[in-house]
Amino acid sequence: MKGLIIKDFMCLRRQQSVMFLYTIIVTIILSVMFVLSSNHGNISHVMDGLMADSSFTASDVEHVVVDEIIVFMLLPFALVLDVSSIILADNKAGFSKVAACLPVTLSQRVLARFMSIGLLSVIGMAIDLIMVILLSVFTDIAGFMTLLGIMVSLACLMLILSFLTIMFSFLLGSGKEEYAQLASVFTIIVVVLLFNIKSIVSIFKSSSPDVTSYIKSLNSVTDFLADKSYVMLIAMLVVCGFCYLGSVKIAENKRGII
Amino acid sequence: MNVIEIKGITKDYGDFKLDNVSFSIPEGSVCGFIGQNGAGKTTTIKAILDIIKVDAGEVLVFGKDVAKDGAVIREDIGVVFDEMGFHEFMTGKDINIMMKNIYKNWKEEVFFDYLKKFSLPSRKPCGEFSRGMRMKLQIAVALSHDAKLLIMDEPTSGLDPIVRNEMIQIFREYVVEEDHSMLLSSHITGDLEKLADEVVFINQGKIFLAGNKDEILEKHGILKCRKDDLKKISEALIVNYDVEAYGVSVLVNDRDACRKLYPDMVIEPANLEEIMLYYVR
Repeated sequence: MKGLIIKDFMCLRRQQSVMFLYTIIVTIILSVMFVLSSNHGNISHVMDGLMADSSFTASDVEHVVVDEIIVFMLLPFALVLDVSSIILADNKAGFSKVAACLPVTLSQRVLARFMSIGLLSVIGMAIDLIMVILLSVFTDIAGFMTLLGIMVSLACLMLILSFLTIMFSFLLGSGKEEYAQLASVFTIIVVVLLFNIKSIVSIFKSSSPDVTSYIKSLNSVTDFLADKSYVMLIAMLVVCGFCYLGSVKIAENKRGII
Repeated sequence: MNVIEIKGITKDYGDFKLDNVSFSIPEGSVCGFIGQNGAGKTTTIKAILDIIKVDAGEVLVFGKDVAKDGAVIREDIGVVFDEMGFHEFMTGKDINIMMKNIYKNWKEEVFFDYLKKFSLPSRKPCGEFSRGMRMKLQIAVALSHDAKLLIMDEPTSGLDPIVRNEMIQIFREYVVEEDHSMLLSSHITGDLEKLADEVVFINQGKIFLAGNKDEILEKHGILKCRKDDLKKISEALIVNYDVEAYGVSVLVNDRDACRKLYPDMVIEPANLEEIMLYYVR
């Protein structure tokens, strides 16, 4: 099984070694730019401007900046957790034929894929940690624990996306990796919408647009990611278990095809 | 002891059915698995390796049920397919790293010795290898973990005669060891004639002939006669016949009986290819 994980890493090393390096460099550059800008540049000016606006509180302004950081923090995970590349490479090589003849069970083969993704997320977190340390030490935007909480939440979110992609890839079969990725994104969107259906309905029902309530909703999402990363961790573990068992079942039913 | 024992396996794909396939391969022997493309050779091999779930029947390898102990059994099986399944960027060194973390009995030195013996560069991506080199790489992998059974699906198809002969030589060296057995599927019967002790013929998912190669070759023969004489030959002896411009060629299943019954007719030995062609026609 260890050999299969090594193979997955070899696939990514060969295909995306440049991308890995690029991600690390971009993360460092972005972090430094953010630090400089939030202390002396445009971010600092925007923050001052928003503070001057009576409709925004200091907390709202901080949240807006943290939301921007979240987008940057997602980048390393999005680039590193490239599960589709591994699946595509295996399909292109016809590796499933070789894998099926190895002394590993089908469930071990699926587990190896899940473990590869788990290890890749650790790399993503390591890259993100550079950003977390730089921003928490050199700016007043957010504390280390807040950013660390966001990082863990984002890692869990991307892992959920990857685990769903693996399961959908097994379900849809080879050559449909892009659809599997779309299906996993769609599933997450549907679940998030269902959990927040009340707030969404209330936004559509309100006759006049209320900017403050929008900002509050946005702030609550940011706070959730920062403070309740354990909820995301539990959700990720549940999805991981479900997707693993689902993938094994599908792979078992499609034995000879996968 | 039989190294492989297949008991009545059935697999229905709708448009193709592996129908009640049964045969066995004694330990230490080379079994040629003969059939035209799409006859069911690969499906049977997949069933032996537990890659597919059979609808009915049982497959025993080394006396163990593959459905229960597939992963353990595969530790002692080397497999070579007609197409290499390794990623094109992988070098011999990469494959070694991967395999030594998969097979308990992986012998690194043996693998690199084979690469050297087959003149395969260990640092060159296998995607740049020729077809012959790719097959040799697969064989090197298959032979580097003390496999007691080698299963090969069309390993010589598409190769030039020189490489084919080299590979046959490698297979001969492998079966020198008494406990080494081999299942070699091919539609190139010439290769099997050189190597096999046992042969199994399959057509449209059904086994139509199986047994010791020499006995099968000894029994079968091509009887040449005039069209009018065909009626004189007992139907029980005729497998099939071919009407030609100046007469009829008949594949008979008991050469000695034919010689005694029809002393005036010419009976020539049949080779595996002729046997296959007459049976499936």
